Amino acid sequence: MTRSLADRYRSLLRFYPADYRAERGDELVDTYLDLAEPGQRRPRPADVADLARGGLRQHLRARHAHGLADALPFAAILALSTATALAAVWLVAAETVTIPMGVFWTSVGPFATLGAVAWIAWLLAAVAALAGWSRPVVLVALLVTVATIPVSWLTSYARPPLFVLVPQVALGLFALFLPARRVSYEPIVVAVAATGAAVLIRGDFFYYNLLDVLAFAAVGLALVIAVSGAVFTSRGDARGWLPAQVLLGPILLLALTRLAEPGQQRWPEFSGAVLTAVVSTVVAAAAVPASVWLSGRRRRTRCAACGQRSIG
Amino acid sequence: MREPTFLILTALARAPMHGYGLITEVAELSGGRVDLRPGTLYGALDRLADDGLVERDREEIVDGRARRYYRLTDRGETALGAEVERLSHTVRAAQARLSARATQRPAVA
Repeated sequence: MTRSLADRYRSLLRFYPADYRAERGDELVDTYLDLAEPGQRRPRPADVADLARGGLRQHLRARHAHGLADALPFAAILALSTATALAAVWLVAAETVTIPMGVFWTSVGPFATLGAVAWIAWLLAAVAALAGWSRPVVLVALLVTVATIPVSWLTSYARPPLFVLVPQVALGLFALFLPARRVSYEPIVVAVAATGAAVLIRGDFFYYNLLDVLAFAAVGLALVIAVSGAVFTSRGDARGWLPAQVLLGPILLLALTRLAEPGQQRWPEFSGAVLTAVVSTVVAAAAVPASVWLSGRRRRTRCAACGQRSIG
Repeated sequence: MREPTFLILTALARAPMHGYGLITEVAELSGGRVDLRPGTLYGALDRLADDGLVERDREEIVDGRARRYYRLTDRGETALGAEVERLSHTVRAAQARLSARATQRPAVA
């Protein structure tokens, strides 16, 4: 029975780099066996997740990029703060627009579109972060945001434009990396400040009149990342500029909306918006692996005695 | 310094320990709040070794299982001492404020 459990733990070591497995494999498996409950036949789900995380960390460590694992929670707080700030602005300034008489429009209660439901969910995520419960609420907010598209298509209710929804979804995906039970007050502070700003600018605006908000959010997020990157680097913190690489996608999606506007029209054409979204996603998706690969390559050295290449 | 790192260094301050011993010691030190799993523990030990705060001590075979012991380095002792001082300063400041609050509170009739 014990041997079977050991074999099962050993098979999970495939998450780790081969050289690490050879050096540490026995020690890892023996420690799991020491901790196993009497009669336990299979690794617990928490152990599988633990080994998967540990393996990822070792792959990153082998490429001198272990700061990435530490950078993700920091990036997640920034992403959630930006997402809730935008949600506050959209809810207060865009969703309360007065629909002109004679326009055929199905309102969602006191709000203009289905987006209000999503924005309220995002604000609840900021509140949940105060109790360390943000991750499940972020997941719900993310699903509600995505669901506005098919629901709007199937019903007579309107939804926010895609150039508002897509950056929100991108921010939400990174907000999911906030560690479970991590108490974060930053999102609610930023959301309250954004609500105050939205009340001040509130007029008869709809999303199309508020495109500058996306650009301001991109600049604000980029500034925070720039300052934190400089501080991390000066302190020798392994996170360095990795949060900037991680959040490059959402920043590009927020910033490029303005650039996608053609001529007189005050909002992006569909083709322009799709092109900027694709370019942003591809550039951002390539940035982190490319950085990790380059980091590992820079540090590869060739052994003078045997000529074998190694990371060191 | 994060709490698991602090607890690992604290556990090693008394004597060199192996992985299983460290996990049980950290759980005891934290009153059961911090439940390190082996994947997380060895990842943390690797990073502490990279930073020169811990190092391998010795290996033993017990009941057919390899026990690799880890010990605190001089640098690790210094880092732990600095963190203890920082935390103590914070605790003293918090205690002072709580005491001041207690003395300012009007007596309930």
